[in-house]
Amino acid sequence: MDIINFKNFSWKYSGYRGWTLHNINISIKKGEFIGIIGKIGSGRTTFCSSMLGLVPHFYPGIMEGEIIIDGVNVKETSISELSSHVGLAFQSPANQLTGAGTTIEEELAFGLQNLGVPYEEMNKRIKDMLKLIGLEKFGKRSPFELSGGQQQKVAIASVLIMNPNVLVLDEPTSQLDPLGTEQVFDMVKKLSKKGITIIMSTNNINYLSKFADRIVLFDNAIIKVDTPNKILTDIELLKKHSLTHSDITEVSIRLKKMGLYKGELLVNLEDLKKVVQGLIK
Amino acid sequence: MSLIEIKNLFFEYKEGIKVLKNINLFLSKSEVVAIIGQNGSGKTTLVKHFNGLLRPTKGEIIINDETTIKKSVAELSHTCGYVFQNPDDQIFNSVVEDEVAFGPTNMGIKGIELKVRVDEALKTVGLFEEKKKHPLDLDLNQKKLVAIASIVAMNPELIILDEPTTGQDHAGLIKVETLINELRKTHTVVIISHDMNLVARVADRVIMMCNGEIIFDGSPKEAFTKNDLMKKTYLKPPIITELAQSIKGFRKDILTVDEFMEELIRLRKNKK
Amino acid sequence: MASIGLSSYVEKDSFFHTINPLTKLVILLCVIIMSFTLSGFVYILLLLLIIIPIAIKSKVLSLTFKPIFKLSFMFILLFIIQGLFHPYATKKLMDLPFGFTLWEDGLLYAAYIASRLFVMMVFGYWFVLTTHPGDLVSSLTKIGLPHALGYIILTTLQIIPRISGQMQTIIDAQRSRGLETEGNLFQRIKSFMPLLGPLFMGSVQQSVEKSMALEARAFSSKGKKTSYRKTNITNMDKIIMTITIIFSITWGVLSWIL
Repeated sequence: MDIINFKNFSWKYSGYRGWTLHNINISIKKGEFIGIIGKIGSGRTTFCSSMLGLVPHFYPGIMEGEIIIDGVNVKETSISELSSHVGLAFQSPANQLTGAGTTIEEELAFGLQNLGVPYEEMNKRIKDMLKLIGLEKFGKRSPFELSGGQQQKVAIASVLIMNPNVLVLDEPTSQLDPLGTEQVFDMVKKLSKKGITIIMSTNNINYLSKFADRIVLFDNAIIKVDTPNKILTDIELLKKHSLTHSDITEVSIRLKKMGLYKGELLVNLEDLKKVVQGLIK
Repeated sequence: MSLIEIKNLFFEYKEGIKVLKNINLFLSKSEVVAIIGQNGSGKTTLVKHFNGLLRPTKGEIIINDETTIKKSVAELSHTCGYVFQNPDDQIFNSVVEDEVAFGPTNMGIKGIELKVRVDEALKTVGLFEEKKKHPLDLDLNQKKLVAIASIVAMNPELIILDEPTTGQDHAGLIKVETLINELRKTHTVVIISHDMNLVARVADRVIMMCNGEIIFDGSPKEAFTKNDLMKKTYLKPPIITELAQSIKGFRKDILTVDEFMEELIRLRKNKK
Repeated sequence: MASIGLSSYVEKDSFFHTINPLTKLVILLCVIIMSFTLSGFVYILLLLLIIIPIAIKSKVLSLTFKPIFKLSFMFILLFIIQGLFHPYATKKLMDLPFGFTLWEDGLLYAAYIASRLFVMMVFGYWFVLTTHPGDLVSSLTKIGLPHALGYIILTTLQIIPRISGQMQTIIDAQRSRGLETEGNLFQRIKSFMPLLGPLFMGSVQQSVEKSMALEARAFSSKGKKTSYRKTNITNMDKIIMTITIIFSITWGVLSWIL
């Protein structure tokens, strides 16, 4: 069943000449993990914001077409209402903390208070969420004392706690160190396994190659949607849109040229490892 | 020849928390040094001592055989250029070339020389065509280059780049890499980075920090084979290195695809 | 970074930490009104006899009086200036060397001001120490303070440490480009633009992102809101409020007729 449906969606920010996104058509199934790749300025962030309705409700501009998410029409639904269907987290962990709460528990409670969730229910959801993100012991600590990776986990949890069916992550690790990146990626992996639909924009192709079901290549429009293997090994396509392929793919290309390997080009370390082991045995 | 020499450097914040512990370091002229480590390991605190933004609690920093204790940040900025991580923390002019001229102007450079320096710096980073633009009209990749140009125009012997690839896409990454290779011809370059691919490609030397101490100082090849240290600092080697290390028989210090292929061929020959 | 920013709230397990912030606000307001209306500074100072047991019960006694000690210099100065130079002084207390005179009405006037300030500050600081800013705002929103205004009050408390951290980064970045931030006035004024420009742009960018983050959490939701921090007005609160008001009126009347 489709949970997300873009029909001929286009968007132009007011004050800008061109369309940031042009004629977007894509259907996403419930429980899918979609990776979004593209260069800076390719419209990835706009695509991500459109699912929560920041485009067209928060930013001024011109919208064409239609977005249906989790049964609601984005254009006709307020952002606050959409927040029960779609959770959006973005780059800067600190900017996403509301600062209204002095503890992590209160930070998590913020959205629930706005939705009018009763205290007992709130309390239960907060406990569950803290457990899910592995911060049970930190509930009473200030979110500002956490590391970047932990802050980002709190930021994701704080939208997730509103029980959306779709989680959209716009470059959630670009401001984190390797440890923080790993923490956030691990969490996303876990959420995906629980059946939450995940849309994640990141240029970490090694991660996407392992966990994404499909990858969407953006360049102010959807250039191509396909499996990680198909997109991430299409070196001409990537190059054309200012992206590059992984060193894993590069090795598989060279092996092919040397006639040592005949299968599909590879993106995954484990797959290539097997091939190379076979060659030196 | 040494450009910077650091002797027994200790640094603590007011509360008595030791942030740097007994740092001893030589930086030679014309080398590219990468400082790596987890956030909070003391990387930024260390380089802030190079140009006097922070002063040691104990120990000494010597630049070109002179102690820096009595020199102001402004004076030290002539030798040590420091490009901060976020270009938005420094850009304030409405025209790119004015932004780049700010540093040299502070040094007292005027007229033709100023113009030449600004133009040269913009050419070095590849933004000469955009010099009349408003910085807000530039994308993230370009803003970073403006920040770098504004330091290059001051022509310091040492250029520190704090997280030069954060927030950059592939095109930006390539530009930064090319730029570092250009700068290394005439400058000593220090990069602070989490990007091990960049480190593997450009660094002559890697300094690994953990809890305010230098735990490793050597070549990138050697650094990435120190699995225990890498683990301790939560760093992962480039994926090609990881691949090589995961296959029995392969050399553990492979940094590039070329090296990987050579090794593969060698191993196949041995088999025969 | 301080967790609650400007607020000096101290987490303690005490009776006065658990009562409704509005009750404490009533106590504070009564004290402020009394300190302006009571006749005779002795009556005002006697209010201190009340705060001491309250502060002990709240487990913040020494903290409550700490700011007063820090400002004791100011109080001494007040007595010296008013005692020697009170503009409408008529009653002489004694002559001092070098032609100075110590005025009785000057000292009396200083005593009035000092006792008011003293009492208000001590009670005010006790209020801040025992009242969680989140509780205060949540109880104020319950009696009609607009939700958005409540949020603004809360975040203002937190934003200052963040801005000062960012300012430090900008100062460091510009100093690294040879900017002199110290020196004479002219030099300082010249350094305004390079420092305030990025700070301003950064703040705009941050507030845009922050408001998106708020929207993502249903901030503008129209329906009824709930509160995670419990701030109900209990019978105990009602009793304390009534006692406070009755006491204040009695004390006020007493001060005027005795």
